[in-house]
Amino acid sequence: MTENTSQLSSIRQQSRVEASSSASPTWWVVFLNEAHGLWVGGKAPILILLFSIVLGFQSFVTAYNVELSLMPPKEMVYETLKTAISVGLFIGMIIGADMLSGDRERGTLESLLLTPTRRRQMVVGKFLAALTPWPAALVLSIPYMAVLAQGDEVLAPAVLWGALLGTILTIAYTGTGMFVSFWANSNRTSYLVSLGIFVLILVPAQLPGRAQTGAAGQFLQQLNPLAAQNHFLSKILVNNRTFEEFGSWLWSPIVFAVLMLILLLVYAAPGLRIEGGKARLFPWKSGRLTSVLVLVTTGLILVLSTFVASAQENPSQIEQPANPETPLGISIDMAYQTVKTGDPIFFDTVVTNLQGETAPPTIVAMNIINLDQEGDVVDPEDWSPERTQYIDQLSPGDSSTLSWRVNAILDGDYIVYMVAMPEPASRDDTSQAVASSGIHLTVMPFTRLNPRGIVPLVIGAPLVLGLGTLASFVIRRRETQGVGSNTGPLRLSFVVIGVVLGLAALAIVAVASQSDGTSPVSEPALAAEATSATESSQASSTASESVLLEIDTSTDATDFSYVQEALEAPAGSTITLTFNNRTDPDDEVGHNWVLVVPGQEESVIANAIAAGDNKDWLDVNDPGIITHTRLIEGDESDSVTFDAPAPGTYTYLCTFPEHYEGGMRGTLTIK
Amino acid sequence: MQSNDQNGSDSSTQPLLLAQGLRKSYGPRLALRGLTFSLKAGHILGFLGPNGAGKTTALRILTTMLEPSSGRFEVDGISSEHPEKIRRKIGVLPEGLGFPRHSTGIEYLTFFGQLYGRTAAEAKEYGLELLKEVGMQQRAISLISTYSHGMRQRLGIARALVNDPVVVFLDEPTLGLDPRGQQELLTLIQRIARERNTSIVLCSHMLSEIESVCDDVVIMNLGQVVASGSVAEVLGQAERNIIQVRVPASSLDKAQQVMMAVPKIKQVTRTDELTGQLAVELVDLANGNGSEESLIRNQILGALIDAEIPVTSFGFAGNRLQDLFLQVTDEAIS
Repeated sequence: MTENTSQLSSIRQQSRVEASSSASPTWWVVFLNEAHGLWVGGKAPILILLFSIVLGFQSFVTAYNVELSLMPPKEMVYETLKTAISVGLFIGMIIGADMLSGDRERGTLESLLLTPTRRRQMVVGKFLAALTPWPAALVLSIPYMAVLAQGDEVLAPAVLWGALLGTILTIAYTGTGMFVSFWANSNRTSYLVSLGIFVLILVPAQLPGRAQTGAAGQFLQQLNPLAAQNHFLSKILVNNRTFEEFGSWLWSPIVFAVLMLILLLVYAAPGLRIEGGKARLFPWKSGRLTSVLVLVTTGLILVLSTFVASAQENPSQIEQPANPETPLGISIDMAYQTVKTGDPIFFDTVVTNLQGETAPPTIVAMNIINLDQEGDVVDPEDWSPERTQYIDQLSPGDSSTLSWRVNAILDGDYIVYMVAMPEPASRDDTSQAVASSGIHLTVMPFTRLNPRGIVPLVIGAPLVLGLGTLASFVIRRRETQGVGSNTGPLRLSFVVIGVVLGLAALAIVAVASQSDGTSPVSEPALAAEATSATESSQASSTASESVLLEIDTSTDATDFSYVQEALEAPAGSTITLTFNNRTDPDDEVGHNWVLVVPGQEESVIANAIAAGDNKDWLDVNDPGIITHTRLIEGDESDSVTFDAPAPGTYTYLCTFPEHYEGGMRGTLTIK
Repeated sequence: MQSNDQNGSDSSTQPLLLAQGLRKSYGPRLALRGLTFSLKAGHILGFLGPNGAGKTTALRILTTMLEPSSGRFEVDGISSEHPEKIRRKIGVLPEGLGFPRHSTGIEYLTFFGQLYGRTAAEAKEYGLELLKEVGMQQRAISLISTYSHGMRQRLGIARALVNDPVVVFLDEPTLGLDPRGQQELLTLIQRIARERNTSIVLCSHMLSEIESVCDDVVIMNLGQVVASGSVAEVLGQAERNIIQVRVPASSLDKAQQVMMAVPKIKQVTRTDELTGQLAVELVDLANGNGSEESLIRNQILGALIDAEIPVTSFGFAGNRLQDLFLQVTDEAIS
């Protein structure tokens, strides 16, 4: 006891000396302590675990939906990034909302306030700690986006823009949560108010596109920091637009973040007290100051937004040329679209008679221009079954609606536009055409997403995170029960490294399995088996029997089918197949006959469409193809000789766009 | 108390804590109507008062958590206009102090040590010493969530000492502890005051513990001080002494008669007919002389024994500070 006492007083003597020069700044000490509480205490790991589950669910649904709606990779990456940011903001906000009011409620704030630490330093430290889950969430979302990107170059800009904009908004949201927490006496109030704000901002941002068009809608969308950010991301990532065009949409998130930082750190923080309620800043009465701040801010946002909105006004006006001289008006209900090769797009045009007298019958024609100078000249006949439509006389003010379909045949960047041409009055008369605005059509090469690629991530990531969290809890418990106390931090860092490595491995597996996405996937073992069987039968073909097969197409140019929908041949035989296109040459319908490795039908079709018109709608190097004929026109024939593949049932089909879907297929059974 | 050089300037004569006319109002409500008192180095001051007396308000003002509406105070010569400097000089165990559940005791103390400008290593070293001082060294690396209430109070006291304060404020430190825990904590508090020569303000409603531990006492009621001074001085102000006697209910009348006959008895009242309880009020004893008081007690007991009345209980109605407390707060209310 006496020994202790003397030791104590010596330390006390020492510590009477004021702050050591080597001591860390207090905001940093507070930050480390809060971050330790968040991460070791389990709150942040559990929120990140939830984050991975939500993101996994979202990307899984997206991946499966893709099979139906063929959402392009850019859009899937954008949707995933949007979800990641939204959930990240939610996490930031609720952690922020708990920071001060939670400490009040748990009775831990007073002991902190009793120290000579400056209030602002405390708030800064806590604020920075509340931001720490966001980088983790962002890094975690990268593998999901990488899988969905399927090698698309959208990934890098998505990660970079996501990091920048997500950070700006996380600062704003976490600041908002803490600001509310600053005033709230109870944690429940703080959570409720924060969540209310979150929903208020979220709901308008989630409204479907049409609710946001129009000057007022667009203005509101631009005011709403989340909606503005999403709009910006969607334009930049999905529609290949530039920062110069849409940079002004970032004002709202930036203003929001700066405003919250000022409110929290400059205005509120120095007045942090045990009790909630009003903060006090010495020279003014807080009520007046608050109202002045609110007014100034609102005004600032309004001025900025109108300025921004007016800057945006010009391009939208170009889209709608209102020329009173023009007798006819023609409008399209679509401005841009991103599709994949093979996708149809549907749109309507409205032709209106703007003049005071009845308009003559009018011809409406569709045109497609390739925006790529180097690209092929577009043959609109290939793209649309119906290129021109006719309208009868239109009474003054009347309008007529026409429906159109365009098949996106080749990938590239196109403009589709319509021309309305009034019928000339007589043989020695002419008329003036009216053109519509264009549909900017971005056609992506067809890539087939294998949703199974996302599955290891969807299941694995939460599993790895959950196990990591559990392991860290166990280690922490053992450590604090005095078992292996020295190795605790070391083991904890092992767990962290393990979690990171586990996630990285999952990401690599997922991305690697996805990189096959453009080439045929699924059941590669069977394909290999089939190939080797073919090879071995080739080796022993000398002794095999020969089989002659013949196959005809339907004579009807619009009925895509083979007359023989089932063929048979013995195993080990050499097959000579003659293929006849029985259609009328005047109908100009091309067909081919392609024998496919089982399970590869979809990918062969996809690759054939990607190969395009120039290659006669067939990728001859596609490993999914066993053998094939040429693409032949009506009344032509082609034959092919090949060794019968391994016993089994094989599909043959026509790879001309839409023919397979139209039912042009059959089966060859090898016995 | 002996003077102590560690506390710097003239601590023997100058009070370490000096409050002058502290007032606090919340809107129209006056929570504190002028608090004035002083505390010498190494003294333990008991802060007494019923609920709503303004104890907590007073404590929050003195610990710089609230600003007084008027009045001022000084800690170790530092005026209340410099709250941050005062915070360096004081240590506080607030009532209802919360702890981070997922920290260990030593992590908690290290953090607070760093907030007072120590490096992490220094703070940890001193934190371990503090845990030893409050008898918690074995649980240093245990999670605070596994601590008992008494252990948390000890940790809270250790935290209050982390900056070697000249004044320590303890708000209801023994609240919720079992009697043994209360006694141990009070012993610890006394030891701290003695060994560190630290002044302590002990806020409590446990009158017995104030009486046994404190040198000085301030009794508050309705936002103002109703009695203050050393415990001996304040007790000198007591006007009455009541002895409680219990006899079988059947002997009540006889006992009352017998006791009234004893000299210097002012009044004998029945406080409980069923259990046979009587309150015996003595006449005022001019100098508060203990020996005369015991003499009268013996006479009362002797008279009861002579009358062959079985005595089942005999003693003071409460401790003497409690009498005083009830008296002064009663007066203030009426």
